[in-house]
Amino acid sequence: MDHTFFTLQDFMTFTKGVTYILMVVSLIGITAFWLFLSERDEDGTVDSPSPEHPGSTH
Amino acid sequence: MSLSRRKFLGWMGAAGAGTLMNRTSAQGAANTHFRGYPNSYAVLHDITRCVGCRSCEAACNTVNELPVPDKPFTDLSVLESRRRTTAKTYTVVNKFPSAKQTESIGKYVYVKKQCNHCLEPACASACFVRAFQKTPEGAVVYDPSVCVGCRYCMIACPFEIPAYEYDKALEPRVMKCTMCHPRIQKGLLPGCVQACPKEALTFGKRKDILDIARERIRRHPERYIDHIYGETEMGGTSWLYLSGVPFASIGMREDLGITPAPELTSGALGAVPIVVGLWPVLLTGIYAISKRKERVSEEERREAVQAAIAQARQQAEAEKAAALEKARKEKETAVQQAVQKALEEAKKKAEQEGHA
Amino acid sequence: MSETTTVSNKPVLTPFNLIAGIIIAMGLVLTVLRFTGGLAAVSNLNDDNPWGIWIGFDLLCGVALAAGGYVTSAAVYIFGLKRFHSAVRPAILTGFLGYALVVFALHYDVGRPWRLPYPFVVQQGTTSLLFEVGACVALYLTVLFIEFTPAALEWLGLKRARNLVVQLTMVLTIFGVVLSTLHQSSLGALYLIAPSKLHPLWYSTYLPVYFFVSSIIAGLSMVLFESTLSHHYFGDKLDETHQRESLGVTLGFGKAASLVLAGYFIIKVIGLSTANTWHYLNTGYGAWFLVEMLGFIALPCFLYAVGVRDKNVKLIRYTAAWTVLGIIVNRFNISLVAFNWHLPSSQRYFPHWMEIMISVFIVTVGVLIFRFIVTRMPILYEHPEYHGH
Repeated sequence: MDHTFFTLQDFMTFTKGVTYILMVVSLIGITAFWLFLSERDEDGTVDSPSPEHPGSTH
Repeated sequence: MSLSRRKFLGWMGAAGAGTLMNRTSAQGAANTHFRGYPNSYAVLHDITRCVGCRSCEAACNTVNELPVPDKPFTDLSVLESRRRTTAKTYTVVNKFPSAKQTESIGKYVYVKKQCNHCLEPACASACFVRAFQKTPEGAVVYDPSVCVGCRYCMIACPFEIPAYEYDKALEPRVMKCTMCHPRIQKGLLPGCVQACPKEALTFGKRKDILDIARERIRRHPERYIDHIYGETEMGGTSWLYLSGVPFASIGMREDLGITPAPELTSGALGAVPIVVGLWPVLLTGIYAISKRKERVSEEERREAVQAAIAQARQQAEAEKAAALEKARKEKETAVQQAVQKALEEAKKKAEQEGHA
Repeated sequence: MSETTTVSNKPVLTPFNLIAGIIIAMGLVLTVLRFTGGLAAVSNLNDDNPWGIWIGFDLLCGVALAAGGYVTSAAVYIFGLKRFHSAVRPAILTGFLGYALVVFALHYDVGRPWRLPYPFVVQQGTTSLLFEVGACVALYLTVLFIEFTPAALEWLGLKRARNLVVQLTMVLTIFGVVLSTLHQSSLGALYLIAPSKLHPLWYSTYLPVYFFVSSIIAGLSMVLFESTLSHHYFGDKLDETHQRESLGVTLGFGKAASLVLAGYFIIKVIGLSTANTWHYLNTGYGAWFLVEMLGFIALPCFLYAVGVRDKNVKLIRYTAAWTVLGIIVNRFNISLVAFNWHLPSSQRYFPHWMEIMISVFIVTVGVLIFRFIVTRMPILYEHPEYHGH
């Protein structure tokens, strides 16, 4: 991977490849993070989204 | 579906360690200019020298083992109609009435057309399986073993070069000039360059070819338009042209600009990861806000109901107390009246008995 | 519900079924021709015009008109507009079938459809917007399929599986909006690479934004259009919630569509000013551009607004159909009319009747599957065991 790129095409092929991998990782990561954030809410407090009613509070 | 803090941090740590890759020496700054492979080849087509003999077409057909055409290459009547490259023809020569007529330029001008082997090929940028590759030798080559046949390369090519084998059901390929890549790797000339009897085609290193072209213009300014077509068009090509008549008059577009094809789409491509990064945050935020609004209005409703109930109860209590008070007072009054009446009756009776 | 009796009492040889049967038969014959004779045997595609109506209609219009799925589920689950809940399942079904048909149609268009997985598993052309379209469409089709399964699972009585999938709703909805934003816009971005081939009035660096915004308009209008058809042809399947919410959905979606159309009109005008292409308005293509702008964007914007203000359900429904047509006109303009505008008319493209027939065949297959699902599964009504979601 340690080489110079002679064409914009080759440069973009490499950078977009890395970027796509980062996109998949960040989607999985942010989902995990969101679950982590809302974990404490699942103990039946007012804020909790109950499994049967996503988006509601009853 | 719960996730402990420890587990989450553990995952993040592992992911972070995995991203410690080697840094490359790739230029990525905003003002970087890619100059292409330093020693790549190019072909110079001097249109003023072309006589429309079609020897190049014949040689191309032989070298690439293309099918035998309907009309032989010696038949010059085909030049009467405008032709484009096809699935069976990597290159064509077209005849144009000359826009200028001088000593050196006759009634007609002949132009050879084929893949221009762009420095930043639009076909390579467009292909979603990387079937096109700009080689260090300068040729843009096509790999039929991965091609899906989507034909986006044909949409992308500003010179309208790639052709397709529409009549093949199972193995259709994109067809275009290869700059005879296998030959030039062996030190041979491309078939067309080899065959041309008028030296209208010259093969060499791109920088040398540009020098030659500039020199010809400098030496014979009356013979040539002062422009090397392909020097900057679409970011530069490896097939360069000199002409005695305006390029637009010989079927070569002068409105393509100098922006290389990958730059045309880099803006849109660049926005993609930003959407992936920010949309989940924004949407979760909207969801959280709408949920909170709902919860607050639900609470307010509940409180309003409670308050109304409390008030109603209070009112009911007050009314009850007032009714009880009233009843008590009435009872008292009634008792007093009864006592009064009894006293009066007793008094009357006593008076009556006193008289008798 | 009387669903079972309705299905078994209806005669099989209705006029619709006969015509559909003929179309299916012809489609099968043409499929054989396509894969024995190549694209040349069934189409007018050529080297000058590599993309025809299978891209212009089946892909571009198909994806735009299937956008109701992400728009409706976003409205209900992300923006919390619960009063539109009855519209979610029909929209998801339309979306899922729409995208499935797009993939089906692609198998006719590309030269080697068995290689369609190649960009993901063999070699990645990461600089290509078509790569991005392919990846997002594949992922989104998966999301839509999962979002559709609760209806099927309820029909099959698989309670635990159904409840498990329903818990994923929020995540799927957000992924759906992300993926839809990406591929709707990238379909427009496909044409960014060909400025020399697309008429300046339609070519713009804002093409991705235009495609994304118009997909919202298309989604909203398709939900209304599909609801009009369902109310007419499957009216006996609508439960009380559906009928009660129907007016609210019509007014709400009509209002949203009007607003988004207004924004879309504004950004298209801004596109003209950014590129300074005003002078092209004074040409033949310019007149057609104005027809698209005024007749298919400004007019429905106004009609939707009037319909909402006057609570005129009929007007809103007609406007929805007109808007759907307008989206088709826009996609056709970009892919077929304004594309290759510089070529002489002898080199312009018009579809072969077989291309049209194959597209009709694909749409018919979709309608038949839609009918099958809607008459058996809880799409237009709530399954009594799961009432209250």
